[in-house]
Amino acid sequence: MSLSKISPSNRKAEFGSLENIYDCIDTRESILFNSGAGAGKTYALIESLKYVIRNYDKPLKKHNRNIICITYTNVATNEVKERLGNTDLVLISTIHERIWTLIKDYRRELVQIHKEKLIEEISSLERIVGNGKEYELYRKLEDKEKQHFTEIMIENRELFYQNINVKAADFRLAFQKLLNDFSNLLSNISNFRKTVSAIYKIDNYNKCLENIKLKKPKYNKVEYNSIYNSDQLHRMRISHDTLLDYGLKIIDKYDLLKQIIIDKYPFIFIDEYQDTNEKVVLIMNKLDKYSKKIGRNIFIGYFGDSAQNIYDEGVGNKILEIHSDLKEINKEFNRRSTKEVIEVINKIRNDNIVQVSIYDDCDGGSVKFYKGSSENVRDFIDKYVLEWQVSLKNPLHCLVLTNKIVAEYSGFINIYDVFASTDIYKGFNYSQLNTELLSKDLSKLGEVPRLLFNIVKLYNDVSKDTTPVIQLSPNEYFLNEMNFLELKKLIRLLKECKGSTLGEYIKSIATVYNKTNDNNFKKIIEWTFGIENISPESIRNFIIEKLFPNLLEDDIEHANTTSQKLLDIKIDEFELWYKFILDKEEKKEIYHTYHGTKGREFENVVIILENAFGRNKNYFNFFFDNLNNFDTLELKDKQTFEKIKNLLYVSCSRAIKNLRILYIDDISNFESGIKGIFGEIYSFGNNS
Amino acid sequence: MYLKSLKITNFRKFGENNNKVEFVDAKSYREQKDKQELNIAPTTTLIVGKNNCGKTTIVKAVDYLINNKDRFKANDFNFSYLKGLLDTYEELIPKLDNKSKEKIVSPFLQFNICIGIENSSNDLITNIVPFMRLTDVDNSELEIVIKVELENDEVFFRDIKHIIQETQGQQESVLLRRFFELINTSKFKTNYYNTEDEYIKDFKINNLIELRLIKANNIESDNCLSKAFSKIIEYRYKSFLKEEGNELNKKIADINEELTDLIDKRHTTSINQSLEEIESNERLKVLLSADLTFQKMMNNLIKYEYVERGLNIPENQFGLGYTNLMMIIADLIDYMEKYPEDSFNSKVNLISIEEPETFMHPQMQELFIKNINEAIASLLKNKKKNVNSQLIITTHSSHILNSKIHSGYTFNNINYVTIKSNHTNVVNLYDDIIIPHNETNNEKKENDLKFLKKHIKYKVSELFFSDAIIFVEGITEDTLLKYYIDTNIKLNKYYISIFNIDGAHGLVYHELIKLLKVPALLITDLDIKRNKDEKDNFKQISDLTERLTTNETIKKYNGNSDKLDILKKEMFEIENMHIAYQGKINEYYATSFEEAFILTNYHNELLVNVLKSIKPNICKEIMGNENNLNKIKDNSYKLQNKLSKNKSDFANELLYKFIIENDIGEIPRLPKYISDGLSWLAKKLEEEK
Repeated sequence: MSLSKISPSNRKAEFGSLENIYDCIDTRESILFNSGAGAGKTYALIESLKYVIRNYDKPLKKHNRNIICITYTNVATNEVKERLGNTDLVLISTIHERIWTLIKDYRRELVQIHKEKLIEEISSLERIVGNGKEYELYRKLEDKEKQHFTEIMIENRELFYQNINVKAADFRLAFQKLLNDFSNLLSNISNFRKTVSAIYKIDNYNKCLENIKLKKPKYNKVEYNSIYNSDQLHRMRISHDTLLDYGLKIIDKYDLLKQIIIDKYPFIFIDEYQDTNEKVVLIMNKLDKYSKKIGRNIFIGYFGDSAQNIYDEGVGNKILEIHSDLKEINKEFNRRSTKEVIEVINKIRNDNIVQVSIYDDCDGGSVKFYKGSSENVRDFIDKYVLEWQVSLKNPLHCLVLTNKIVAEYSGFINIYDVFASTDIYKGFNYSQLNTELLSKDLSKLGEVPRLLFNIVKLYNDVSKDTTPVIQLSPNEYFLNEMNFLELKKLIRLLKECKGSTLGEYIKSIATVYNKTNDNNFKKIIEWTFGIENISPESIRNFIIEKLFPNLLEDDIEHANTTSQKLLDIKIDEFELWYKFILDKEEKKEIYHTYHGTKGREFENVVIILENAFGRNKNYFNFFFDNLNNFDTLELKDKQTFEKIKNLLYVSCSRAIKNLRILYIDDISNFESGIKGIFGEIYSFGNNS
Repeated sequence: MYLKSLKITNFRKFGENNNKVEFVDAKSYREQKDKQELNIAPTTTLIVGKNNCGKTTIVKAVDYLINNKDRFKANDFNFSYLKGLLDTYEELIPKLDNKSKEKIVSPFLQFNICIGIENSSNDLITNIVPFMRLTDVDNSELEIVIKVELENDEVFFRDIKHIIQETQGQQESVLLRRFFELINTSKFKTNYYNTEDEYIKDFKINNLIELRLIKANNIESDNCLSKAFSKIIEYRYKSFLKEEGNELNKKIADINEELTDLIDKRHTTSINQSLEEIESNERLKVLLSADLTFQKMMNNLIKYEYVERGLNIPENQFGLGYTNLMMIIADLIDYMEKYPEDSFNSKVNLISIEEPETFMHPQMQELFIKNINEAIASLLKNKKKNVNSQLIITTHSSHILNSKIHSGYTFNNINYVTIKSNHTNVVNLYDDIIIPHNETNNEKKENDLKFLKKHIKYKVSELFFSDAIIFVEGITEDTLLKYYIDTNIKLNKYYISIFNIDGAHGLVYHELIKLLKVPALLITDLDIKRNKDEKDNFKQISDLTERLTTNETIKKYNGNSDKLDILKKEMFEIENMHIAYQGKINEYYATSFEEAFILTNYHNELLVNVLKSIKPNICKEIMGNENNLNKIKDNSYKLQNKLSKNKSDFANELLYKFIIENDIGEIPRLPKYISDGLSWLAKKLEEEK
């Protein structure tokens, strides 16, 4: 077998880079460990953790201190746990979970930060209402009138939401009587809706502030729940991004908290730093600097590769600006791929890290670049299904640039099409759809996709007999007081909910929900949907509200038909999407977006390339075009160029042995750029 | 909720196979619970076996998991498991620097606990929910995997590497000792997993299972019974007589006050006056006061006396057996009193009684289960408690085993524990295993079972505690074999049960014997079929051609054929059974043990004399006046035939002569098929060592 022999000199050299890390651990000098794709970064991380355990177990134990290891996904968390073996010294988790456990006990302080956030949000909303054109009519009202109008609308909140997506004429009809004195406000329903939404929000926030002041129950703490991807500030509920924001604020504000963290966790390791949120690095920097100030030692180790930064919010190579004085350690071996693949990815990367294979027997792979057209894609894939003897155990991994093709080949094109036609994902925001519908990181899913994910998860969980009961439970106490009979009833009710389409399933849930007096069932459903008062209408309105945030009169019908289309999609299709998100597909050909393959490796990889990416019509061609004149580019173009480069680098470096690329646009203008990286260009399709 | 089974891996003598103890199955649980006869515990499980085979380890395992708090030591690990681990470490650890991707396993103990769930139970799921899957709601069981694992693998590997390097070139035993020391000093942690090997956090087994241990031989002092009963009464007083309790407390306070007053007047003042003379009262002064408390009163309140024939007898004059029984009952009452009055349960409650037979005479043992149940039933007549406990009794008393089989009329819920190649083997006795399902003849199965249970009364339960078993088919073998085994130096150090069965029903025992796993010698007979003519003429048989047997056992193992000429060997060996029968002895084939014995020893003077004394006329008829011993050989069948009514006289007479004979050389020899069988037995027993 190839890729197995390591010469003693290489072994020694590799150990050398580990020893560099070990030295820094001993001297508590924070590091930035950079290594290219497939370099064995996770291996270095594990060995470093083991080194700390081996050498610091006693002092750590004695003072009840721990090591923190932050991974990028839950999959990675499990991998590190598995490879590390039993340990009670290392706490391994994703960043959100860790930050939350670090700060959640400081309830009063968090509520204070929450208060500030609410005040900030209110004043920003008031600013918008005070300046925006859409709010002009409202602005013109006397203060007294404003107050009166607000009172009427707040009283009739329900009526407003019932009519949120009806036609303007019907809307007017519904509110005419109530708003006799304000009929001119109803002249533009779209603006009216916006205005009232803003009023509601301000009202919600104000009430929340009031409740905090009155120390009402439930208002004495902030809650973070990882299953929702949006804040509900007025319910004291925050989501992932706000969590990091609060984390940064509270750690920045309280020196004692910094010291507690430094004393309790003297070693912090962060995997995939390049895609880690800037705020996390800010937090780490504050800890590092504060520890020096008070004469304590803390070690922070960043592991990653700035060339693999593919998410915009990731810190990438800006890390050194935010967290200064990091010692850089590079590793240039490659433990994954054949030398043919390494050669190509080095050329794409084209920086100071030039990888060589650690193995003596590293040949035997192949990379080929084909030009063709979009009609060839199927044939191209079929060719390799045959040639590489693809099976369920040895599937073909196909990286596809266009999300549409991923969705189509993975079996959920209808879902994709519906989302692509909604206001929030079309046009300028099209590229968001990639992340918010197809991301394998659940915290990155959009609000509606996340809701659908929760619903499909419930469906999937209930239909599988092996699902742990606890997985259905909103919190750890929920099931505690139940007896077997009650649990049986609960599960029976959950199984009663059926439907072949999403809409039918939701309807069925709502029917049972409104019929039963089983509170356990109600709680689970409310938890899944994130709202109270479940009805098909309320879900539908929620979807429309989120997918068409600023609905114009002319679009109401479109919004209604689109949401209906979404609800009419078969639940089976949603399950395919669900499995895609969770990487649980059982197929011979598995399709990935470029982003979806982080940290993974596959024996054989096919990449389908084209000019366009998202709404950008000139993406990859731009890259190949400018390969040799990077320096002359403007700053913004340079950034774009880097982004494209990273994406291409991550994609190509997934391959262990064989890599095939099919470019389905005309490449005659930038053939030389392609040749410079991939060598000879072959033709596929009609002319081959 | 009930404890269904427990699988013990690598703990003490338990290995990785035959290590599952079955406590109760869903069906028995329902049946036993419905009967409601047993008030203390609806279900009873018996763990039987010889000494030192791992019975107590089973209960100890549960106790450890609940109460030990991770303090596991090297001697809690199975020795050969540790040895095997060390061998892999020795091989793999030097190669570790080569970064081999294979994961090295660290030492662990594993316990799989299977919890049964009744249908439509109102038990709370609180303590078990982390392990439940949707399907478990309708399923009757779920499994909890408990692993005792190292806290930090890496620290352990660091140290083991160090030890291996350090002891290089030294004796293996040094390494082994250091290895055990390392295990002893390593920190272990109890982790919980589901069957999919997913880690379950925030679970503690002691929330789910409660264990009350009632130890054998808990008679510690002369007045231990009084102490035990004070405890019970104190508890009852506190929890049932609340108002009276308050009143009593007031009274005690009054008494204290009065007494203190009195002490003060009569003593304290004068003492202080005396002290004043030595040192100023500013510095030295005493205060004496009465300090009677409810607790102190109770401690000495109860005097336990036996009432026998109207006479009160102090407890220390009473028999140990009764004291032991009463101690067990006192413990159980204490348990019942403390059992919460709720109508629902959220726990599995186990009561373990360890070897209750201590100091008890056989009848008392026989009635043990019945006795305690009746005692407790009557003591708790007025309380309505929804007790959901399981009783586990470990015992090496064949009488208790006997009574369990009879009171339940089943072999179910009995675990037989034995040792096989240094590992504990748990055998679950089930009616279905002992008497395999007979599709064509259900009635026969029922009857076989009935037969077996009935016969248990005679001795069978003793088999569970034997080192080896010999089955014989007649009184002569039964009587004589004991002598031969007693004088056999290879066998007389073992506990060998000889069991006399009726030949026709011997087969019924075979499945049971296989389960017992100890070596078993089954001595049967050729039972050659003779026609009436041959019988009448006492035909001697020297050739098996065309001959048939009537022996069911031989037929079964002879490929279901009764043809004797296709018999291959002079015995069958099936698993742990050696089935022996007669071969050709001095020209002839014997049909029974007596005939084989006569054929083997026809020239032995002792035997001939016995024959002559039991059957003088027949002997005369055969030999006439001349003492031609060959005639005895040639008439062996006739002799055995004529002896058939005097077998027991024959055996007893022989035995008597054996015992008074000084010259061992004069004792007749056993027929070859039996002496071969005994050699086999000796060999097997030696291998077991």
